[in-house]
Amino acid sequence: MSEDRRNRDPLDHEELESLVAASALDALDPDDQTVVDAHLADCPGCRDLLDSLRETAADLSTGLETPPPPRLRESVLGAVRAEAAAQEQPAPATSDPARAEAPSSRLSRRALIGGGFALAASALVATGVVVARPWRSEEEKDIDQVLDAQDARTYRATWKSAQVTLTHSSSRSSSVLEVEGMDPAPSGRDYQVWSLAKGKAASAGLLRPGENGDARVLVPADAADGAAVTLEPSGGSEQPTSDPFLALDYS
Amino acid sequence: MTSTSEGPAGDPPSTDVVREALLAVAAGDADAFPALYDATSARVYGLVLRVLRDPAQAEEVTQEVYLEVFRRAASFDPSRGSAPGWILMLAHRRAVDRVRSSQSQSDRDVAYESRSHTEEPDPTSEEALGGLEAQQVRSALAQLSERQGEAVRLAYLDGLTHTQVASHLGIPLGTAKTRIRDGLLTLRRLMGTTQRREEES
Ligand SMILES: [Zn+2]
Repeated sequence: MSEDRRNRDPLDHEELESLVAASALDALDPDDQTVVDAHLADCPGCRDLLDSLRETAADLSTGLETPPPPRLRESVLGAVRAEAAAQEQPAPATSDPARAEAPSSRLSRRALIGGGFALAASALVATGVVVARPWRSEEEKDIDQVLDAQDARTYRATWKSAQVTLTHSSSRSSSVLEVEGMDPAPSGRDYQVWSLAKGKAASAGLLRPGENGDARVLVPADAADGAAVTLEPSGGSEQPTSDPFLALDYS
Repeated sequence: MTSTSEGPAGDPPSTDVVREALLAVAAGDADAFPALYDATSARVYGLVLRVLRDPAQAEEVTQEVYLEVFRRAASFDPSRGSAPGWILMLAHRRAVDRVRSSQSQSDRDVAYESRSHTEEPDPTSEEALGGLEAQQVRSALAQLSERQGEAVRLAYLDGLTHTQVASHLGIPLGTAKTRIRDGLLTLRRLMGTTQRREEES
């Protein structure tokens, strides 16, 4: 909404607002969605517009209420119970043999960004799926244990306005990625964290900065040699679909 | 975080229930999920069914929606919108993704043509509109110009992109964009969505 945006963007702001409105209806072609996402990252006014128009759009479904068949309830609740149970277990061991046999002492020293981790997205092969973690208290406990670990080592980086800290503990086989002052991901996208081992990426979940731009994510780091963050379609991907914009190496 | 008073209609009574259940699930209480499902499933399934027009696919997509709701509950931010709005946003996106990925677009175009220019509002909804909020939506839609309402409905309820809206209506893309934007802004004003957001923030 601000003047400087108006000057910077190739489209005038009213045109962008039209795209934002169509975006609230999920009515954009992928190219236009990319334009909107880029703009939303910089324009709080349009983020508010999008939020409020999404509410309006949702109201349009009033009157369409149709009770689903009862079997769907059983099916949904069964799937959710199964997933809840799975999340209470430790993360399942990866079936990737390369990961399994790499001893944790083989953490390699590699150049920060531009080096080993600026891998072509196609070279990154996921060994896990996206695991969102509603079990915050458990995760918070694990996070504190990593941050308090005797052998914790800290790596720092900046990305745009964000301060990024990665704290790695070998004894805990985990890292904690913390960001401060990070802008939210553009609409329809999410930041996704990856644990990297020998050029393979395993999802460590989504990174969603809160109101203050802060977030922290527990990153499994068993036999891993670094962590990276990519921008992915909303909800995350099973494997990275873009190059990491941020990569940190356990050195 | 009080509930709303944007008009005599107010929110559907379930809004607080939905928000509380969603926040509980976000906090790790999976036992709150059945209540969340029960309070929202008719709306989610109804919307998905309207977009997909195929009960079997609507069931599949609704199941995917609820798994996504479960996985992403922790990312629901009450300051950015209502809990039902958040769930319906996920539902709509998945329904539209399904429309665009799995179905031959030409088949759908034929279906649109055969429906011609639908009555106002959609017959299904006309029948089902009952409650006070529904009346408010109906009156808002009625106040919207026919052209704007048509563009908004084609986009939201039929899952067309704005480019497809333009070609379906035989109007320039810029005109379609403007109608969608003005239509939504008008609806927002008529239905008091802004006010509700502010009260919830
Ligand atoms: Zn803007």
